[in-house]
Amino acid sequence: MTGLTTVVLLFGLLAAFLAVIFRGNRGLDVVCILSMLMLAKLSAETAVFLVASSIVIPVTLKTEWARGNRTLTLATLATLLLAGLAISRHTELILWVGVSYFVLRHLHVLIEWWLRRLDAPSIPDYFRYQFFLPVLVAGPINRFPQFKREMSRRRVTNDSVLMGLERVLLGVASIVIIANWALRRALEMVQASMVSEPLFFQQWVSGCFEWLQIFFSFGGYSAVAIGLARIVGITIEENFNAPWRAADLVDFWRRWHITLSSWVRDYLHGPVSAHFRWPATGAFASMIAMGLWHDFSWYYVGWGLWQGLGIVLTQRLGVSHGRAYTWCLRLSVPVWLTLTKPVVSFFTSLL
Amino acid sequence: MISTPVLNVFSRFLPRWLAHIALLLFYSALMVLIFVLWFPPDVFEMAYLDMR
Repeated sequence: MTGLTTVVLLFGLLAAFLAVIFRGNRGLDVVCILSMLMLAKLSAETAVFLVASSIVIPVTLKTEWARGNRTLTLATLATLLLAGLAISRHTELILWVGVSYFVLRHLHVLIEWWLRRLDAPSIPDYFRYQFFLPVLVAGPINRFPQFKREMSRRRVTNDSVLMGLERVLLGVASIVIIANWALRRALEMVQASMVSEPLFFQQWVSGCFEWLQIFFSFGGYSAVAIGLARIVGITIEENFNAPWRAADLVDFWRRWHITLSSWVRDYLHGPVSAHFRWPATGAFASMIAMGLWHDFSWYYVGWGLWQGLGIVLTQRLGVSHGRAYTWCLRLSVPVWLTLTKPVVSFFTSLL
Repeated sequence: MISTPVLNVFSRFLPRWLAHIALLLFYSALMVLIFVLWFPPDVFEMAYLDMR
């Protein structure tokens, strides 16, 4: 297990314990302070970026000038945030922690304010939201209005503590036992027995394992975050909803990394589709953005194009033509997803 | 009364008191496995895994 995960989990449990002792917003303030200390210890650059942006955004949004120039304010702040994200992606010598998550949280608040669906947040509330330790490092990308609602009705009960602890235990078990041990060893054994197989087939098999590993490790991290939040009496949005039960590829992206896909759907897919009056552009733009959110590389541009193509094809074939057809659509999900790695690797190797 | 998702699953098949014991055993097993797998084997100076 990595040192980073250990530190984050220990700080998370300590923060949860303190937030149980201190009731109301004071408990969340303690979590916020602990979160800042942890971030400063792990990555001073990330701490500076997050503290500065968490002060600048609510202060700017409260000014008369910003209220009179909403679009210009949004464009400026969003550009600065995206530039910060790009810098964090290209400075490999510095350890950045959770930048891609808090940048999306900032952008969500900015866009909601620009759409006049959200008032400028107060600095203390915004700090509690951005420095909420359970979700700081690996999401879920929770939304501000729901978090504010949860803050106002936060109540720690025996049930919430027990359910939260169980969720944390199951999450850690999913990461440590299934993803990091069982699946890794299984992949090593399979790879050792496939040395003479064609490269395409090898990549397809490792692609299968990658999806499983992401599900069990990232799903585990999400479970830990949701569990820690539950202990302190705050309900956080779920990140996975039985993705293996997806009826088709479109349905899959509603069930997989839900907080990211819903962010992209609300702030990118809808506006782009409406602007071009063609849903396919929205699908491609969303999936490329999701790919680039993972990493700024040609592989992830190809990843986005492949997933976008899958969604467009699914939407074209979407009308049900009976039971066999429904099953074909259902089966197309694992086939399409596991083909991502070999197909995209092949095309990016041509570049 | 205590209620968690895993306990509810056990309670579906076992009497309530037995479900609590099963839950404790389940938690203990998970915690032991997590603890052992969390650290590399040299921490314990033993080969509990078939390490190559």
